[in-house]
Formats: sequence, structure tokens, C-alpha cells
Amino acid sequence: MAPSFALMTVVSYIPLLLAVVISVTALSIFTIGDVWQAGLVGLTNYLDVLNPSGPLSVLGPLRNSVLFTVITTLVAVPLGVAAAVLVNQQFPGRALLRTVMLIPFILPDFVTALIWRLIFQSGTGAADQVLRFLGIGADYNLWLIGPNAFWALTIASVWSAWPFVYIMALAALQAVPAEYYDAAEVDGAGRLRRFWSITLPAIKPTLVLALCLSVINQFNSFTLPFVLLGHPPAEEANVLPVEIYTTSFTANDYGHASAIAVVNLLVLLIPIAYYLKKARSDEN
Amino acid sequence: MTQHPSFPQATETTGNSIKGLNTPMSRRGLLKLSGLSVAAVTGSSVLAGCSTGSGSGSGGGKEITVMISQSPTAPEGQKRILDLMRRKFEAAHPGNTVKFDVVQLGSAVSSAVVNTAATKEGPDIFEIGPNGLPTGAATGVFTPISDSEWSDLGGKDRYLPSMLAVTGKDNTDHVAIPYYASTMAMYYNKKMFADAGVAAAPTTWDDFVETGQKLSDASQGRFGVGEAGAEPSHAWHVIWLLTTQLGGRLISADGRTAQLNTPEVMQAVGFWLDWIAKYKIVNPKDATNSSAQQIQQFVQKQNAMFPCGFTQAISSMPGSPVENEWALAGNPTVPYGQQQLQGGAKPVQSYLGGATWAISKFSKNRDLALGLAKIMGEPDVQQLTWKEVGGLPTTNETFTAHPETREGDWKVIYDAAAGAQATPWSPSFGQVSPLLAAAVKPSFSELAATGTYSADQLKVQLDTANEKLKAALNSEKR
Repeated sequence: MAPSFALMTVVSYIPLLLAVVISVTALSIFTIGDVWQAGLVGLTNYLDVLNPSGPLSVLGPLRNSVLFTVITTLVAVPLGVAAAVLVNQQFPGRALLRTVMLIPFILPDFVTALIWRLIFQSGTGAADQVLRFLGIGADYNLWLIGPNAFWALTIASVWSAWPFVYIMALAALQAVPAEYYDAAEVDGAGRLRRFWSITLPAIKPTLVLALCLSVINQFNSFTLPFVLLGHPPAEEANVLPVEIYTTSFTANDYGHASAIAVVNLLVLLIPIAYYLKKARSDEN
Repeated sequence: MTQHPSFPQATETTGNSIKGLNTPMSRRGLLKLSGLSVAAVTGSSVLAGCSTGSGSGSGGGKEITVMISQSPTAPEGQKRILDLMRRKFEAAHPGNTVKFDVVQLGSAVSSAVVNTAATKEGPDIFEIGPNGLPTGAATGVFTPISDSEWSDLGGKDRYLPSMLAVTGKDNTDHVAIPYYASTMAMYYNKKMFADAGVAAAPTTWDDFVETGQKLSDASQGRFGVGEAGAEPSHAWHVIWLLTTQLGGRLISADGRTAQLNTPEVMQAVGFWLDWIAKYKIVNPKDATNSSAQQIQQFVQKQNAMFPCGFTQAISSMPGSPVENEWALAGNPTVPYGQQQLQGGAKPVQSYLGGATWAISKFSKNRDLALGLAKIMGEPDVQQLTWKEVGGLPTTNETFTAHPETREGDWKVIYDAAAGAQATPWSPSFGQVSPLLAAAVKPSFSELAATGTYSADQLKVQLDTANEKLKAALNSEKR
């Protein structure tokens, strides 16, 4: 207990406390040499970043982050579950398919971002070539700048995110006794009925966990948007972690950056709280 | 050539992804995770202070450390330069050694300055672009070099005056020693110009548009001018130049007032975007080009000229299809709509980029650092730097010993450097680049998609950028 608490204190609690403390100071590159000169500013940094009409407002990136997270999760979760159900059955080549499905999960985020950056090259990228082949839309689409950047980010993120759900769902599926399905089949239940009445309830706790983790993962995603879209990104695809980076390392304004990071944490507490409540009610 | 970054630059960081998790987590695990995530994104600025070593003495002699960003175009040539400096230093200062800490990312040098400000430890010398100096001075890491120290270095007269001028506010209190210079210039294809009946490179922006139109036929998909609309640092280069030529500024002379939405800036940006929208001399698709793509298009003869190109592009010409056709000229200096400069205004072709050496206030070996900086300015080192990484020398003795360094195409660079105008001495000037890049991005996106842009939307974007710059300037006061 004591060693784990000590470890958590060093790697988590102290940095968290520091972030909260810095968020109420005017610490910046101009005061980093003498942090005591930074001075306390109370909640000013929070008011600045949450002021809709202020120059430091992060409500736009916050909205982008929420939308991006929700859409990615809503697409990735069904995809992951469907893939898990598919490869949970016996068929030739299953082992190979399981391996292939893990590729997006294994790749580091920056590699994923570079791959999709190539795919989304205007005119010459695979995305435009496929659309051209299918005769859909324009020959030349701007995927990485302008409004499409949001969708480019979301598509790349879904590709990267669904295997995580798939792995968790598959692990849960393998724990479901085969007898349940046999009995249901004897009773005349079809595939859909077996899925709704056996599979889904059986994997539900894991699925809720996967959903929560996916939300946290997407909401905190930095490498993918940073590498995929470059810096600064299109306004429509500027998400909160990139905004924290910009404020920290471009503006060198650590007080405001920490305030944004704390806002980021507070938003993330919503899915966490939901998960904890759900887990508690399931236990009861 | 290494493009030394202005100060507030991106440090490549890893994301705070949790993709590695593949087992169910406990509730506590989730809380740990959330704690770690905020720690990762906010604590880094604090923890980063632990990452840089000190250049303190070791063993019997002393060791000084120079932090340098790696040359992206000539890393091997850079090694030869550093090796020459090391040998000369160790011969001149027996028993002492020098360590060149070559980092892959230019932004790492800027980050190291911040770390040094926080920890009071770090390299003895930072190699940094002129635009990074005001911020380094504001952090207290870069301090003015005294008159006696300048004497030890060979005197201020040793250096190219325009390059020396950018190392201190109002050309006083210089905080760094010039190493090499780079400037913006216009690259053009002599053969394509001749084929179109154009005798010489344009010297006014009216001529530039006219020349571009002679070289273009939008209906045939032929465009005379190349552009790098998506290169993050390109926007401020062009906008600064055009605005300065119109008599405007991006930050007021005293460094206190943001001026990103003035009529001069609007006019400058509008003229730039009109190369695509109105004059049809730039391919709308070039709005998504990086600098590398822009240069590639030029060497493949897809266009005949591009202004505001940096010295680094020179190294792309040998062995290319334009090897015997390309030439350099200064950027046009007379604003669009004018036939000559008004009221004796000074022609401005460029600001000064390049590299300087700033000695840390916290260096324990300042004398040795000055000794190495003196060697850095010697003709053999400067000439090798010119040859290997394409940096214009900054010491007058080099131009005497090696006149080739300012002859031929290099005369264009030398003239542009000699007449370059300093950027504002403002610690927040480094923010101008990302702010302007973000401000023009929607317009370029619109141009690439539709060939037009909304001036009203552009004004809104510039207003927003100006408000953000104001906030940055206010944070200096905080």
C-alpha cells in the first residue's frame, strides 16, 4: 500500500497539484526564472479561457474535442463489438484476421497520423483517388485544412480506436459459456436474439468500461491531431490537448495552459463519474 | 541551411494516449489515469526543467557546452564545421574541451533556454535565430555583452552591421554574437523568363504581377508563380515584408501594441491572396503547399519564380532540371500600385534570419565561451559554414579572405542581408508566426477550394489574431 501510494504521489498527485497551483498563477516564460514573481491571479485564468468572447477562449477547441470524442466513440464501439463477434466464431483464416485487426492498435499514434496524412493528401492521396475511382465528389479535396480537417481527424481516429474496443469485447466474449448459446439455439433463438439476450448483457460491463476508456483516450488525444494536421491546425479541428500545447509551448503561458488542462480534467470527470456510478449499481 | 526558429516554438512531445491498455481497469485505475493525463499535459512545463545538463567544468580542464539544432539539409557538413571549431578551440585553450550538443529539433534549443531560466543551469552557449533573442533576454538567460567582451571578440566592427543590429534592442545592449545570416530572396527561371519575353527579374510588385501573368495561363492550368500557403512560417515572412514595405508594422516600434489588423496588414494580406484570387498567377492548389513542395515544383519547372524563398533553397538547385536555368534576385521592394518608393522610403527585401550565439548568464565558463565565439567568427570557420550549410558569413574579415562568399548569387543574399530591416525587439514577436499562419489558413483553404476568399472573414481572423497577440503582450506585463 505504502509503496504504491508513494509512487502515485510522485508520478500523479504532485504533478496534479502543481497543475492546479500553476493554474491560479501568472506563471509564464517571463517569470519562469523566478516563480515567486509570477503572483497569484485567483480564477482569472479560468475566466479568461472560459470567456466565450475573450481572445484566450477555449470553448471552440472544447466543442471540437467533445464532438470528435463522441463521434469517434459512437463509431468505434459498434465496429469493435462487431469485429469481436465476427472473430469469436470459427472460420478458416480467423487467426490471420485477428492479427491483422490488431495492426491499428499496435501502431504508434504518430505512425498512424503519418499514414493518414499521406492518405489525405489533396489530389494524390488514396482518399481522393478512391473517390475519383468511385466517381464521388471532387477530384481534389482539402482534407487537412478547412472544415474537412475535422472529419479527416475523426476518420483517422476511428481507425485507430476501434481495435481497443474489439480487444476488450473479444476478451469478454470468450468468457461467455458456450452452453448459453447452445441452450438458446435449442429454444429456437436466432442470431440476433442470441446477440441481444446473451452476448450484449454478458459483455455490457466490459463495454461500458471500454466506452469510458475510449472517451478518455480520444479526449486526450494529442499526437494524432498534432502530426496529422500540423501546427497550428485548422480552427475546426483544433482540439483541447493541442490548445494546451499551443498555450504551453507556443505562447509559453503556463498559467493559462494549466487552467485549460484542469478544465480538460473536469470534463473528463463526467465519463469517469458515470462509469463509477454504473460500476457501483452493477455491484449492487 | 538550418532555419533557426524564433522563440516560442513547438517542442515535439508524445501524446498522452492510453492505447497500451488492454485489460479492464479498476475504478482506482481510472482515477490514476485521469490524474496522469492532466499531469502529462500540464506538469511537463514544470518537469521539463530537469532535462538539461550543465556545461560545468570536468576533470582537470573545463568543458563548455554549445547547444545547436541539427542542420536539416547538411548534418554531415555541420559535423565538419563543429569539428574544425573543436580543433581550433582545443589548440587555443589547451586542457579545455568543447561539447557540441546537437539536437534534432530547433525547438529543443528554445526549450533549453526556458529550462535554463527555471533551473539556472544549462549549456554555456545557445545557437539561436535572431528572433529568439528578445525572449531569451526577457527570461534573463541572455544578458548584454560588455564592451570589454566585444573587444575580446574582435570588436563590434568585426561583424556585418545589419546582423549585429538584430542582436540587441535598438542596436544596443547586444546579447548575442552573429554566426551566419540568411535572407529571403526571389528564385526565378531565366530560361522560362526569356521564353516569355521577360528580360529581368521584377523589382516592383506591379512588375511581379505583370511578369507572373505573362508566365501564366490559368485556362491551361499554367501558373508562373509558386507558393507555399501551408508552410506555417511562410505567412509571417510574406506578410511582414509586404506590410513593412507599405510602412506598417506587426508590433509597434516600442514593442507594446499589437498591429496585426491594421489597414497595411489587411492590404498586404489581400495583395498576397490576390495572387491566386485576382491575378491568377498562382495555382489555387499551391495554397496547400509546404516550402519543400514549392521548391520541388520550381525545380521541376512547374512554375517560373517564387518570392520570399529562403537561402536554404539554394542547396536544392544543383543536379536538378533547373541547374543551369535558375537565378536569384532580391524581392521586389516597391508596393503594388506604386511605381517608386514614396518619400525616400528605404527599400526592404528581407528581415534577417540565420544564427547567433548567445552566452548563458549562468555559464560558469564565460571566458572560454567568448573564446570559442571568437573562433566561430574566423574566416576558415565562416567560409566552411557558407560552403557546408549555406549560411552567409557575418564577419567582415571573411568577405576579405573569401570574396566568393558574397559574389554571384551570393551577392543577392549579401545585399539583402546588408539592407535587411530588423523585426521588432519584442519577446512576444515569436507568436506572430503561428497567429498569422492560423489567421490566413481559412482564406487559403477557401482559395484552394473555390479560388476566392472572403475579405470580411479575413478581417475577422486578423482581428482575432490581434486580440491574441494583445493578450500575449499583456502577459509580458503580468
